[in-house]
Amino acid sequence: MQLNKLISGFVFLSIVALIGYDAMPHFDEDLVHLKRGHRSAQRDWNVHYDQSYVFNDSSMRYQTDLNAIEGVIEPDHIVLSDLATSYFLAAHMPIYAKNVHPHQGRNQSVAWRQFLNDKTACYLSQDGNMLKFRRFVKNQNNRANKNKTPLFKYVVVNKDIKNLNLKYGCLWHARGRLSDAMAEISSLRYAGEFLDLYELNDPLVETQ
Amino acid sequence: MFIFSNIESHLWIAYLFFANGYLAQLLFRRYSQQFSNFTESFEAQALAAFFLSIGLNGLLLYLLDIAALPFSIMFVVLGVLTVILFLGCCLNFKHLQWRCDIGYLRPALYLCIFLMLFYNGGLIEQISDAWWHMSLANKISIASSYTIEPGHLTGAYERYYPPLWHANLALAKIVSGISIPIFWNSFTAWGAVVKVMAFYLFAYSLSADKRIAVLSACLFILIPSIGNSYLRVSAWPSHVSYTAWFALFYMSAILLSQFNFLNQLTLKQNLIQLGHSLWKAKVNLLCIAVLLVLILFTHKAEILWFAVAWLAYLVACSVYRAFDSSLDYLAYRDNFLNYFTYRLALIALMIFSLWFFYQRGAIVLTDKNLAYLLPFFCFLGLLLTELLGQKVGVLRLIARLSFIGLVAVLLITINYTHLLSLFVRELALPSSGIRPAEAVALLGGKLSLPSWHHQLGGGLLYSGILSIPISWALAFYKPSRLTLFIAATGTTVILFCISPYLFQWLNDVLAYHSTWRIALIVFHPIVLAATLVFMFDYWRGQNHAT
Repeated sequence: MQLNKLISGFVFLSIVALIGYDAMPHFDEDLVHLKRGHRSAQRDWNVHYDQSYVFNDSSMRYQTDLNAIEGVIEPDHIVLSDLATSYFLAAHMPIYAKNVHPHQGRNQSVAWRQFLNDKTACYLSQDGNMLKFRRFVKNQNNRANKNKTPLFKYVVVNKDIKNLNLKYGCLWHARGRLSDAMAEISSLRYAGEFLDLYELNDPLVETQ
Repeated sequence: MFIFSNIESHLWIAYLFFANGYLAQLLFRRYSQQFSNFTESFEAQALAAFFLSIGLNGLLLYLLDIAALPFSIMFVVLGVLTVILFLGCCLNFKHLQWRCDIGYLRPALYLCIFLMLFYNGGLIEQISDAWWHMSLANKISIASSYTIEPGHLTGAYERYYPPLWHANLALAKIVSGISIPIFWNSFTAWGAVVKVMAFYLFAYSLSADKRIAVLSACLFILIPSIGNSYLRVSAWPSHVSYTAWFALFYMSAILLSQFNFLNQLTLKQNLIQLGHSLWKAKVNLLCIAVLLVLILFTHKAEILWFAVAWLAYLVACSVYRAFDSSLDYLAYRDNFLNYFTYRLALIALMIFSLWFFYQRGAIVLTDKNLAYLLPFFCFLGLLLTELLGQKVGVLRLIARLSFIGLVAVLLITINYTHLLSLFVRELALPSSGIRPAEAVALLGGKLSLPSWHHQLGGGLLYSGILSIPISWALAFYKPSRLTLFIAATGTTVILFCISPYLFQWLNDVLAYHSTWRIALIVFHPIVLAATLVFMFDYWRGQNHAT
């Protein structure tokens, strides 16, 4: 009887130890920084995680800019922006974004996939890239006019330097060059604290 | 610190996703004693409020969509609905049933979860699938329709995704003017709490022991499971669906408890009795139907995992019948509904597996053809075990041999290197992310196996995988609905995860990108909670009643 009690006590304590070991990540501060450093999603709760991460790395700080852009923008057009801002815009206003993850539509259009993967828009100051960009816009919009699909009409440049998500993709790193190049081929419709909205000039959009 | 940001969105969540449902369930409780019985606990009332609210919202939006009316009308419609329900409650005030089983420990637990997730926020600080869902919700709000033409994110064609939860988020945006990401972030705390409440109810319905149920809820929060325990992801449609899924287990376990032991009667008498019993349990069946519809329009896949889990339990009951002589447990708990459903399911599955082999396989000795044929023989073996397991003498021996043969075949098909690679990463099969890995099978062909990626491997190590042998020991020493259920579901999972033949078949049958999610039915928080309670009782000298 005593032996059985001893065994049940041992099993009980072993399971408690196992649970303790498995529960440790919820209390590990280093894990928060490690995950953020490796762009690994913090899916589970952690006592050292707070809303400032959410506030800084989501679209929350851009609310004023997003509201203003929604007021200016014509609905149902394609907007080019960096990966994160593309998603932020799509979740807030009636626009379409092409610079998205491959499994969420980037691979559906061969032309857009090639254009984004070539990084043409990131290096517009390089020889021939501006011409390539213009030609791409014209071709896309010609096709869009013919197929009655959304036109590519806007570019949004995100100037924020705090949001970690912006750093993964050349369009944000090239934000200065992109803004300069946009002066040539578009008009600035809105300049906000974080977001600038450019509307591509008419000849590029109305191509028929 | 932004902990107190977005308070307004929390007030809207309380109203839109709980208030009307709460009033409706108060009225239901007044008119249905059955409904009143299974919503006696605080958790069941909160869940009823949540599911009735999002279901009613979804239905009203659907009606507006059909009538081509803008969703903004919902502001008035919901107001009118609240007034009607409130008046209904006032008129029935004397007869309303306010009884609520709540205690002290559980509210404290839920408050802790709410505050923690309020503090942590939802997983929107990464560009994950959450933003795809928010884009869909946003476009539903703009289009005032469930049907988005063209695709919501890129403007090109998008696959269909069940839109009920997205429509509810769209409604929240329309009536409040608050953006969807803010709602998504705020709802995470609410979603986490209702999910844990649903898990508590699920554990309670299986164990009928509040200690096991509360401990299971605590462990669900503490130890990693296969994705469903991720609390920062609680605003995703899949997690709303998991909540309904746990509630569905709760309701179906209650349903099973309502049936009498009917096997002494003839088949005809049994069928008549079954019909009567089902008619008596109509409110319960209606709730099950509502939950199934909610899952169907929220994430869908959980309906399949629900069926797999109960089928696994029925297999365990059948095997138990064939091998055990006392039948003590079964005399109280088993019933004709189990027998009837199980035999019918096995016959249907045999026909389906043969049809699938006819469609996709050929009579050529390859690993893939064996994989397509193996399930047929498994179901046949189980049917033999079931049909002959209750006989005596040689027939019972055949039933036992049939099951032992089945186990031997399954043991041969297992890829032991893959099992070992869960613990020793160097042995892992080549794979990329969550895509299945390729394993060399017995005849040299290549078959799929789930790779031990961060969700599957992380969810199994170590509690998940260790809970499987523990559940076997529990089922052996303390057979009951609880122990047979957790042992059966855990065993099913591990078999499908390490036998390339079974996994390949399931993967091809489902044509689903996440077949590995079958591992959702490893309910290891319940296994560990039950073991802790049993050991504690044993240590104190009390034998736990089964």
